[in-house]
Amino acid sequence: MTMDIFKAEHHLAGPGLLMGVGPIMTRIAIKFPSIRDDFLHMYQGYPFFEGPEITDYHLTIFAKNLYRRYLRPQVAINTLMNDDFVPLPESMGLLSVEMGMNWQVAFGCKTHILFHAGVVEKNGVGVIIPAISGSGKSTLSAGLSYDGWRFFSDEFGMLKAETGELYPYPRPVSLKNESIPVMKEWVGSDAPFSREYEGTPKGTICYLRPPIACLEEMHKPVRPRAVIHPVYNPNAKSDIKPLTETMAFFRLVRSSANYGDIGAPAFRALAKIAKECVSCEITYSSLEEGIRLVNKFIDENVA
Amino acid sequence: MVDADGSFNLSKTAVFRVTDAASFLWEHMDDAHIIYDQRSGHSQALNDFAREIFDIIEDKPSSLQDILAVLELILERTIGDDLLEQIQQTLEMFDKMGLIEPIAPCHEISQ
Repeated sequence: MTMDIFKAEHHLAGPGLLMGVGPIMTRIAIKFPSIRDDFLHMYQGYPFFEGPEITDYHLTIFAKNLYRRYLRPQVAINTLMNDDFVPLPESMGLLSVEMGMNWQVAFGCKTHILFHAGVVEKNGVGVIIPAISGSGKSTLSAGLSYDGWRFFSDEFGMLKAETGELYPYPRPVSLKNESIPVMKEWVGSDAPFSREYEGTPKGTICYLRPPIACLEEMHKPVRPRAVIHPVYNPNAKSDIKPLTETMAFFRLVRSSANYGDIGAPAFRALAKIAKECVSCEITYSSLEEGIRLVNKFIDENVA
Repeated sequence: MVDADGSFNLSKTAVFRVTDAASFLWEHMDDAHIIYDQRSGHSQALNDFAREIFDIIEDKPSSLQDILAVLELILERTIGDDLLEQIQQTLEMFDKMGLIEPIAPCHEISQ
């Protein structure tokens, strides 16, 4: 499971490094030394394997030709799926790795019901935090994980339809623009952060490694007990609005990436969550306030 | 039946049946009934009234007049124009969602 950094680097440069995050095993090959350095910094503490292992996805980060390797180097991605990514400059290489892995899970995962959501857990209470981009779910999930909650994901909630349990997929958190200084202040150390990638299509992006304790428990599932839809608005008054079961159900359907693919088991599983979990929408104006509202809602509504 | 504006109104004339009851899954929520269509993967919310209309059609293929008669029995009163319009709209929505389908105009069935 633990592999020294030189060996990991050697695998990354060669046939590919096997990395297991939660239920997903990916073989990753990176042909650029600078991107390998960024990757190994961000994925410090993650389990790497020698193989043989059953591999879910293969991801290769490479240059399309010799010119794009050394003159104005550009990074291309091969996910072995139907992808068509615009190549990025080498300086943004880690974004390509993250984009590739996101793509593979979002379009390839059929073993779990996927939510576009953050997920955290405390005292056996699993909380799904579904939201569209820009509503602050990544920042809120990351903030909670550095405030006593166990981090499952900031991007993909993974629910096993058969058991109704959420599985961790604790990849680094993707922080954007104003949320970067907020989280740096919240965490209080630069160590778990990547360098900042400026000028991306989404502005400045910085990755944050989840707390090490979350990585150690990445195979421990939890039952969902609450669904909290966050709405970040710097000028709004804090508010908690309960949702009916029907509203909760349709919001979950909307946030699921593969509800239609999984079909009837997904319908039953989402209906069970809508009926058995408490659901609300919270409006908050700062990370501190968001965390306070989540804790308040859970304390008051989940026994 | 042709409306005053000359348009043909299917919901007033046809006998409807449920398309394929075996492909529907139901979940009852606090304020609605959710129906999942396994053929399309779509989910829809029905209120109690819509669910009652669906049940009538599921029991046996029914026209608007048949549904009215059953609802008048259940409600123990004559159904007014407002409610009639709601029933018609509900039938049109069901048809649009693919939950029901017309099988024949009323007069053909009665002959």
